[in-house]
Amino acid sequence: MVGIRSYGGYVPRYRLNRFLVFGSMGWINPANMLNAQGEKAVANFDEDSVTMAAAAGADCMTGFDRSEVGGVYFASTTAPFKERLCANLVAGALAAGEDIRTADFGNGLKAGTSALMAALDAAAAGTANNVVVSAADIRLGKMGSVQELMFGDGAAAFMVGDKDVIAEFKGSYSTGYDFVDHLRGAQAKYDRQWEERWIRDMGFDQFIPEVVNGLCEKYGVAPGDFDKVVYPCYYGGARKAIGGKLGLDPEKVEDNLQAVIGDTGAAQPLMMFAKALETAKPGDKILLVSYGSGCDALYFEVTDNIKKLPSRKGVSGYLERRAELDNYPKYLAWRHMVDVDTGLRGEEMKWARWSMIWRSHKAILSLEGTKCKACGTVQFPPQRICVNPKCGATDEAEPIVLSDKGGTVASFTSDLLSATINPPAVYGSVNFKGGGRFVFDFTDCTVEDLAVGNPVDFSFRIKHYDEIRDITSYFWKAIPA
Amino acid sequence: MSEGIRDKVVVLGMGCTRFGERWDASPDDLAVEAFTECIEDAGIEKKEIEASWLGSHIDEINIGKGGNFLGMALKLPLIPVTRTENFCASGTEAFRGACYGVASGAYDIALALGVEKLKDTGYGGLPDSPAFGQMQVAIGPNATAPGMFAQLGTAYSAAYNVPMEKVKQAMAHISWKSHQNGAKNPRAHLRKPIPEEKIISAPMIAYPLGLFDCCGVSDGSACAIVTTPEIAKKVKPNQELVKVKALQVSVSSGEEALYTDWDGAGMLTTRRASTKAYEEAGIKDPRKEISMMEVHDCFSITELATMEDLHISEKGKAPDDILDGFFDLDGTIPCQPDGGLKCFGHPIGASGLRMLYEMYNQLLQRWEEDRLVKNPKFGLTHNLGGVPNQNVCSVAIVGL
Amino acid sequence: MTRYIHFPLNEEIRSIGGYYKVLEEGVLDFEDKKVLYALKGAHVETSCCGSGGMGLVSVPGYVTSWKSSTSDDGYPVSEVKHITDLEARKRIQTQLKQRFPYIEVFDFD
Repeated sequence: MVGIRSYGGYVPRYRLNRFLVFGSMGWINPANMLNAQGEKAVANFDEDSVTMAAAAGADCMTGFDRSEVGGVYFASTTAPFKERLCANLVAGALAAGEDIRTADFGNGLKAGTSALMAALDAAAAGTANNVVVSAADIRLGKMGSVQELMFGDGAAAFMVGDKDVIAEFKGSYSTGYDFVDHLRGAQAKYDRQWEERWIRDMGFDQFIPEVVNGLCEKYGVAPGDFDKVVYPCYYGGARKAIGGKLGLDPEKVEDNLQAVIGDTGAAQPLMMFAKALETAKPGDKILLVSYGSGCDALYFEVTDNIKKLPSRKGVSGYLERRAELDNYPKYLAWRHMVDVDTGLRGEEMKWARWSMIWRSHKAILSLEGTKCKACGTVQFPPQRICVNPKCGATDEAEPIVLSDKGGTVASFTSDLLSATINPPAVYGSVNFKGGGRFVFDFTDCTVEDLAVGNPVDFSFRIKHYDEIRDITSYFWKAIPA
Repeated sequence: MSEGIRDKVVVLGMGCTRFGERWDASPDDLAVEAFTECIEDAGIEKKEIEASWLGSHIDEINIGKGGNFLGMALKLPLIPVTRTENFCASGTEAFRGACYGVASGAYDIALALGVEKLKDTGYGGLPDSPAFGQMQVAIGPNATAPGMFAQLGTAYSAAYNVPMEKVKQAMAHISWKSHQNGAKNPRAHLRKPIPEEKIISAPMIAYPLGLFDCCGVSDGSACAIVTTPEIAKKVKPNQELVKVKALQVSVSSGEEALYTDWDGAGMLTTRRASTKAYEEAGIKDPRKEISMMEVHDCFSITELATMEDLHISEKGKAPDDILDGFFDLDGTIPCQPDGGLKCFGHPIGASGLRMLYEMYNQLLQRWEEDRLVKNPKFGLTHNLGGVPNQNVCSVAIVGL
Repeated sequence: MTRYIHFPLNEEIRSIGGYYKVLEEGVLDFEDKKVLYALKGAHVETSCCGSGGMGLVSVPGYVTSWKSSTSDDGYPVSEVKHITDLEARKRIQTQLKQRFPYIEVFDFD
């Protein structure tokens, strides 16, 4: 039986009140008042689609052994690289091994469901099992645009396999059209959209019912048979109209999280699906529909295994982990939408040195350290000679992944002099649970959130962004647990 | 069994420039200024110098790599120049090279010169160069020195259960003392006394370090000429000789940064280097025998912890000694009689030799009455480079 | 009780690494107490390994006596009680943040 074995979600900690944006930019586009309701989730300055996909992937792996993973698929329309496979970065962050299938899916908002179907098909064919599919997006609208208010950031991940599934995959139906409502050229930074009535009446309202009916016809079910129905649609009225057209009980239509997260692009239907699974019961039929350049519709039935799934944060857990971003220009700076002055020191170049990064890629991507076989001391970064002054064994170390070990704060400080786009820089020594110590940047917190002895988790983040060459470098940071 | 360097080498002469933002001076100008004073003081001719060592930390914007800078700036007659770079201990390392050259019998007279020229970066502070290599850039924290040293303050307070309020008072007293001493020194970078209240209410830079807890960086140069006791007696028959008693260096092993035993409240390297230095100098009870010190007060918390690491104050008791005035100019062991890094200034590669310059002149009782340490016997200097969990420490003792 | 010396506003107080100024001093009505605060600006020019500028609000404590004595240099001195209650600090910070929305650092220590 092929289907979903596990799910995970991720919502960045910071939330931007849409009215705060409107307060600054309403003058250019007063009609946006109508869109300026609720808040949107925004990635921290050191997050992008890759780091969010890694976070959702890690949530999805809760309680599972990373050695089981047979592949990692990354889906996004905002991948930080055009050439460099982001799935490998996500796989590295999950320490999923390197003898696995990795692939990126992108360029359309269906990318998340397309990746999911590819993983399901591979599991069915027996060519790859336990593929982790992680979708994330961090789309930008111009200052003052409706998209700026509409879009939010987030991620969802699923592990797809052929046994112990929590939701059986019963089948799918797809359409593909060169119907353009939103688009971005290869060099464009910001989303561009055609007029709203076109998107609403000729897009959502036409293609979603079409794909749902197509699936129902193919598998001999009716839309009303589903216990939970997931479909994206930004426009409240149009969402309701689609439900009405399909004869759906509004209670069974999953919330699109617009009021608290925003439209997360390729991740949107998957986040809604992950959230639906949080409360799903054995026997529930779930319909998952994506939209954008056509539609994918996927049909699942929840199994008894869902009761055994180890608990995880999920979309809901991350939604609760919330802090207000009360500063709109800061959001603009974080997203590199405006030029800010970080001082001449901030202009010093941080080169990505690829041969060095490759040599140490397991330390950098997987937070892999060493454990001395002679005395058991854990150390990071990997050491040839054991750092324990009472040991000192040479080349007796075995690798150990530390990213999921957690740790405690040994010392910390808040630094107003470091050149950063998000001052003050907060960093300090962290003792890994089980041994080892390293000085980490802290993120998703302020210095008030820290105390010596407090527990921390590790989070895969952007370490440097080289704006001149458009190169993102990654490493791990510590966040309060 | 090694016997160390005690009394085998004599400081024949020293020189030191005014430290500060020397917009007027190139590194060559600074080196010539320090060297001119030094060779006059030594009473020898340039051609008698047989070998030289050059201490400098930041080569990129400064003097370039290698030893050529010194040969060309001073027009040295084709003698060896070896550049030493070991963070803030670079100057003392140059001195150590020269002393070992003489002590080994390889040379009769050797020169050590430290120089640093930083005022060409376009911003304050040290250049943002990858001091611990590119891998540290890839995975290390986005840290500055104040932030790394600030953690010494929080760890110290926790380890010895000393309230932060008292730690901060002691730190303020340290800064106050450096300002008092620096104000009397014509060559100091900053010459202005400041009330403790203004120090303590200065804005925080990296908790618990305030603006006045941090030293600056300066341009400057300092220089020494060393020789054997026999030659020194001939050159200066009527002068007391300042002898080298001990030269020790200790470098972090990774234990502090990567192993979990270290409490973060003091420097393991300073503890080890000072123990070895007292042994080498034949000092049994440093609190009784050391007459004065110049220590690495890059941040006032560093000076506080160093008083314990040097085995002068008992663990957890440095704030008491500091607030008692034990280290004031008129205290039992004056510390930073010249104003220290904080007020004399900190041109990295020159700092170790600048400290020795102060000890040397104090030992010879050359200063004006208002900043003179009375009848000193042993002077100790201390440098700490890098950051508390990954550093280089040097301790030197000179005496009569 | 801690002494708080009212140094003249806008005076540059200089160290080797930089300087700071007290730009504004005030008293905030907070619950049944009076809280002393000072808006300070600092410029770190040449501190070892760093440079930059910052603005912050420092909160020395609850006022227990207002300009009741004079310092050695002739400046007025108030007495304040250090605020240690972390919850009270949060509430005070919220009030001060409304007044100084651009300030990120509130120093109670």
